[in-house]
Amino acid sequence: MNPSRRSSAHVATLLPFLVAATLQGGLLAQSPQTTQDLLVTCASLVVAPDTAITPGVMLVRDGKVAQLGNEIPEEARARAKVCAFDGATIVPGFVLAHSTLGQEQDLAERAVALTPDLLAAEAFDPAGLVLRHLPEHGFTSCVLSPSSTNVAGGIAALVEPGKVDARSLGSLRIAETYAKFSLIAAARNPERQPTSLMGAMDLLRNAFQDAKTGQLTGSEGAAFTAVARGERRAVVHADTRAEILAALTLAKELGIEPVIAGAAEACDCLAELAAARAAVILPPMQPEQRDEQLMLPARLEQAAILFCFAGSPALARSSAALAVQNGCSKKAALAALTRTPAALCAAETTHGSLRRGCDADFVVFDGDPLDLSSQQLAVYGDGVLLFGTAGTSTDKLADKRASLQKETL
Amino acid sequence: MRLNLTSTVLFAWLLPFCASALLAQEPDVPKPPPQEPAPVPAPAETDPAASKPAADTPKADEPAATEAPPERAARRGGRQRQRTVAVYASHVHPVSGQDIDDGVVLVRGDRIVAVGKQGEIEIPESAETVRFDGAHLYPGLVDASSDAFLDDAARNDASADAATEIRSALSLRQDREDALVASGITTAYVSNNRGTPWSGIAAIVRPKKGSFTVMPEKDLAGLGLQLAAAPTGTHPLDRQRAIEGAFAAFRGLDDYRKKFDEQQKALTKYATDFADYVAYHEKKNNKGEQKKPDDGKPSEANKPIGGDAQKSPEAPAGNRPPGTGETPRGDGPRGGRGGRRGRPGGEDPAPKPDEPKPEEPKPEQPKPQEPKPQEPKPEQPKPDDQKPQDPKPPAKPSETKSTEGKPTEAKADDKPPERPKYPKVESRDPVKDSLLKVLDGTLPLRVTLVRPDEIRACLAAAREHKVPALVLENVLGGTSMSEALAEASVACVLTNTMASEQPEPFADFQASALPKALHDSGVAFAIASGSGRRARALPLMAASAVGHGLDPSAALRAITLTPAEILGVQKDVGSLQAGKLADLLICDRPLLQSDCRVLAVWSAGTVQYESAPSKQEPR
Repeated sequence: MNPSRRSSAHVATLLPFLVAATLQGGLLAQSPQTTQDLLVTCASLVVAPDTAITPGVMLVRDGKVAQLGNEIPEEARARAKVCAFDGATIVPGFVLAHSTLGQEQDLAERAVALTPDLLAAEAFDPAGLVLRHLPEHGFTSCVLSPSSTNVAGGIAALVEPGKVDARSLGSLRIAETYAKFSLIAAARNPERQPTSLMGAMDLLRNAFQDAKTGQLTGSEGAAFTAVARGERRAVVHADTRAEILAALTLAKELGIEPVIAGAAEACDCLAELAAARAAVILPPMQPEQRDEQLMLPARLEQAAILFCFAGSPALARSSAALAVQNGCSKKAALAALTRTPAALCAAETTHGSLRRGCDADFVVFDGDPLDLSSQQLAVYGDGVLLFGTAGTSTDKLADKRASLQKETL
Repeated sequence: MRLNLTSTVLFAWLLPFCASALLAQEPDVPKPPPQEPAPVPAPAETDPAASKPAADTPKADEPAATEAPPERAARRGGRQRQRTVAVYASHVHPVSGQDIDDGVVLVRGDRIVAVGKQGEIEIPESAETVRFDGAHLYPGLVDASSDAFLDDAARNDASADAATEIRSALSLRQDREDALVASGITTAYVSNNRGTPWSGIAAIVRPKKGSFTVMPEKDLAGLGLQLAAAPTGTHPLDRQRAIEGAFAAFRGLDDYRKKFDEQQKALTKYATDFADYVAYHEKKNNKGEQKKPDDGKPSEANKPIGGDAQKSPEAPAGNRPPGTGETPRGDGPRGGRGGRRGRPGGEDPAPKPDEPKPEEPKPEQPKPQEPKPQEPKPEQPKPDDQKPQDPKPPAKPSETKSTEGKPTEAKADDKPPERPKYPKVESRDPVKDSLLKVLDGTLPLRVTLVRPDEIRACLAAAREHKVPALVLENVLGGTSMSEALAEASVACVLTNTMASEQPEPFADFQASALPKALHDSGVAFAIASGSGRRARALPLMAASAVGHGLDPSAALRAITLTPAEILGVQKDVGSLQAGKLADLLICDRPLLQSDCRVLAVWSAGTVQYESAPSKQEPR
């Protein structure tokens, strides 16, 4: 046999291996450098409280929602790792609009009433055990808020649960969200100013005025100015009707749309809240509350006042269910757990919904999330499983690779 | 002559009593079906001393319990014009059977007559028709733990003990609590949950629109025992000791029972002796007119006593097995009263100093007890006739001091038998009485616990003291104890299935996983609101259990049939079954959905709540 033929024969024998190698190399080269895409399928995908895709399909790339439903190309579908939740409903991950994550002591500068420039982010403990419990109740992000013992407490941060490294149970997502103010009794300390509601109002009014006129400069002045200009949302903790009305008055003077946290007596001043275009952060609801309290979400919805739930994460879903039982629509109740809190901390572009570009934070239920009879199957943060059981996984690419390898051998 | 006088005086005293006793019992006599003898089981409860006031004031001072059982009233009085209603609903959930699509529930008066698919049930032409198109029809809910209808004083009564009866607090309550019936709860177990440790005897109520009634014969439905240690850092051994200490109340009850059994016997004996004594004198009286004792007269004279004696076992539902001769249990008090009244007029011995004497034989001698059953034998054939003729020589030898003299006197025949002395009556301890009822199994013991070690200690203590009917409430930390609970066949009432903020020591108990764990282990459990203010959330509580893995049908059962079984009222409520009370809950969608709205609630065949007028078809 001449050498040339021999070599050609040699090439012929090697050809399948070469093709396989090229194919394999090509496929590998084409797969994303970071992580493989995730194709999440379910019966119903609630993108936002008023938008649902049935059957639900979502492509997750690099922890973000890349594409939804029919817009996902076949090629991308074929290459992604499929995570199927048959018969399930997927909703955006819940956002907790106000929490101290058990760090009250670190989130209040008690001796001074006005600390508008302090950053809650600087007190964030990524190893805090409370972070571990957030996904158990469907929460994929949480606002770490300055304590309500200061009239101007500081600036809240948005944190996310999820194992970052061996020690950390969460991470900081947005360092500066809303500015926190407080008019409740706890902020009126007899050992320092202010000691009364009118004192607190005067203090705030003067501070805003000083910032405006340039008398208050530096980071403090900047913090007040940002709020007055509407660049940063103001969340005011106010419980009684007098406190709520005081907060609304101040907001009117500044020309801003405030967020009232607590709002225990909100049912007595619905018209004023609606007129001021205020939003409300409600404490968790309990079955033994007065009917008036239980029906508050429904009344807020009727008055077109945005509301959301805060407090213990364990009670958030049952609060929403109680709201629904007492006349609130399921849409508004779901918004109260997702879109509204995200909007209040200026994170609606990334949190609170599953639109393109949002973080792939989602919760999987085997039914309607607002029926307590629905079981929470899994919670994903940035496309990573945080709690529960992953869906039925099929990876066509991996299968292909495996079959190719088999053939090669 | 003097004797004759005495006996005449005695009869003058006795006859009105006997007559009144007969009259008092009259209404009870035609009431043969006290089918379930009201929970009056223990012989201890029914001795003459205890039954005396009951006989005098026949339940009149009992509160709401007796006041209006409308169901019964309807059954009795309104039979001729009981209306029949066919309730149609798109989905009928009978709980006791498969769900029925396009179902119908036929109601006559206060009861369900039939449940089935439309077209398969024969509907009488005269029946009214109520339609709930697209709706879901359930049995009325049963709340196995509530504090509704109690005022704050009763709800927070820390001074309650094992004998405190919630029914008396209920009868004073003036307020209404419409939330229960508006959320579909038609039966609720009402108790005070704050007593330490005993929280009194709970009652089962039937909530109505604007009011409530206590369920007939369920006004004493369970004895509460609060053994949940505060959510602070207590030592497990301290908790165990506290539980053992509470259960120690069951010790020594045998002696207590024995004492009253003996007293009962002494009183029975007294009644017999007194009857004999009276008969003797009656005979003596008649001797003057007729030498030979005539059958008619003495027996007639005996009749009020003897006849009464025959009836008496019937009236108090026969706690004493109707031992032929020694029956006149009910006569004890009356005889006693007669005796007492007789004292000043007759040749009676000084009452007080003598009283201790008859007491001696009771506790000291078990002897008289044994011959007792034999005693009737000689008397049995002709109790009334023989006695006067040979006044108890055969039975007497073994008898106590007071009767010892009789045989010798009897021989003389004209010497009268010594007048029997009324035994000293010990006062009863109501706390011990209710504890005895618990041991007899007629009063379930409801123990509230939280931690697993408390459950373990309680099960051990209940086993040691042989508590037959034990129900555990709360049981927040029971997930790890489900097997032990199943083994002990203990029922549980869960009041914490919905997510709630628990104090730190209880935070890791996984309360929401508890229903599934209990269900998997085969423990009977009910889901209850625990408070009247949480009543509306009862379906959400059941839904929450489903959300943590429990089967939906099991969750529905846990707020209907299982609590009915735990409360012992499954005969009347808990499911849609022919013969049960027509308690209906009609919703616009499945009950466990958050947005489910109650359309109507029926209790015992009458509409108690209606949110939207139902479509009623003209006949």
